[in-house]
Amino acid sequence: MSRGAMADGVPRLRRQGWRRLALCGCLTLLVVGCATTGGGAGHRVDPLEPMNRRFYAFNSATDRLIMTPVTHMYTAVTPRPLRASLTHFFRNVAYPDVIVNDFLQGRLRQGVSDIGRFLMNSTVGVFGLFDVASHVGLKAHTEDAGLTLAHWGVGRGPYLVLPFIGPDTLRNTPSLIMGVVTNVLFYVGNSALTLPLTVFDVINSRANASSSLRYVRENAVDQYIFTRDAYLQHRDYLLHGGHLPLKAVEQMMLPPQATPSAHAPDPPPFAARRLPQKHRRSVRGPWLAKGVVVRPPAPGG
Amino acid sequence: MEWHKRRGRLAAWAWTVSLCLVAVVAEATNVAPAVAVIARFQNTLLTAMKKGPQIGFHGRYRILAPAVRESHNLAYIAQITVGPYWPRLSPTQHAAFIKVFTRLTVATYAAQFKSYSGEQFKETAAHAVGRGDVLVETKLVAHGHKEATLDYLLAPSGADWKIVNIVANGVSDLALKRAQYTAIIHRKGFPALLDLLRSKVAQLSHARKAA
Repeated sequence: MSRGAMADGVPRLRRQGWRRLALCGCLTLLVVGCATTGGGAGHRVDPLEPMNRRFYAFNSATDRLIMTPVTHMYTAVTPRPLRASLTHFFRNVAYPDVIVNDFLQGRLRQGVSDIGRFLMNSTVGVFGLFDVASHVGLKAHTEDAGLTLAHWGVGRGPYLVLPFIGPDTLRNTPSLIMGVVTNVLFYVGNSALTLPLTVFDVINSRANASSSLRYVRENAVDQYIFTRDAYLQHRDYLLHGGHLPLKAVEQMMLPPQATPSAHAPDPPPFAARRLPQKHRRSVRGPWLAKGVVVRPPAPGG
Repeated sequence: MEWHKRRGRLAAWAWTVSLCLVAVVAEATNVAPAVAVIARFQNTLLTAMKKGPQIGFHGRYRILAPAVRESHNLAYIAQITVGPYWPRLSPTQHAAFIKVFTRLTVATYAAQFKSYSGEQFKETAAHAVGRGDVLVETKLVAHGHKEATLDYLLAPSGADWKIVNIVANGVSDLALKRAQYTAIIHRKGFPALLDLLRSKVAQLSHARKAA
């Protein structure tokens, strides 16, 4: 895995505004409709893969034709410190979303810490342009409605690719709406101010995502699968508070195939050989029988 | 009678404590060699990054290739990435796949770790997991960037410990590769995957020649 390229998981372009709110609402209804008519696809991670792949191609084309040139121009005319300050500002105005979800999940101490972080950055940090709170030990957290629902035991639902927005899951779609209504800019009420800021937010987010997108382009042999699996794994990781739970290590090392639809379940006809206990692999996929390993000859390539 | 009871309880406590101590010492002894493998590998990465812009992609490749071969169980990882298709492939195909997979792994490191701006690796924890494997948790800290967690799963390989998976911010490299490779073999066949991986190596090499 690359140096920090996946550090923020798969990037998501965040937008605010009524248009997005309406779009998300319509899409959610559409997707819920599709998912509920899907019949026995409940156990599958990506039952909407054909539709998702089309939206993924659409998003990629839109990004290549519009967002990439705009981002190049933006990074050419804005110095790095200014971009960093804008990033802090947009994260800060969106931070009430984290605070609300802290409390909805019952994380009281984290919630209080996040209120302190928000207040400090909004005042001492000049409207959030500077992240002074991190320097005094008030760490940033990642919470949203999707993580709260997961915390409450709601299932993930099917994986989705939303036009203009990117990877998501059905459980996570309410966070699109909640992210808007908890954003400080939503209450400013002056569209002459909020509209250009929203445009800047989108472009700045895209600029921040450039290294991740480049990593996917350069390294993925199937960009759709790479993005989907990376997104889903990263969301699970966030669900565990950004820690790799030891109990889940084995499953996380080799999670079950995400696309049973794409692969016929192959019986494992391989000539597995039993090895002494000390040499047995602890990581097992669904195709590896318990305690049975196929270990190749000594490495060397 | 009371004294006997107390002595019995004392003996039980002593036994429990000594067991715990043995377990702690055993774990510390077990994880130390695995931690050393990661420390050596990350030091080599830092060396490649520091020399990065001067020596270019091929220079970094030359530095990293022996370190990657020494620290990663590439043959095992390669086998896992093609999942159930591995036993259906011929020994010649196995050898060809391991060869191209090794090149791709080294090329990816050489392409991504191309310059140095004060980055540091910090080991945060090491645990024995599963059936004798070790998970070494590290952080990549870079000035002005969010910390990235890099967790390495190592397994015994002969007398050594070798990396069998890397998990970056909760995303398993091995799982990502397996999902992609098995999908491509299913749709287009093994030769198509081999061609794709070869073209990836070429792309990384050409794109980064100037870097």
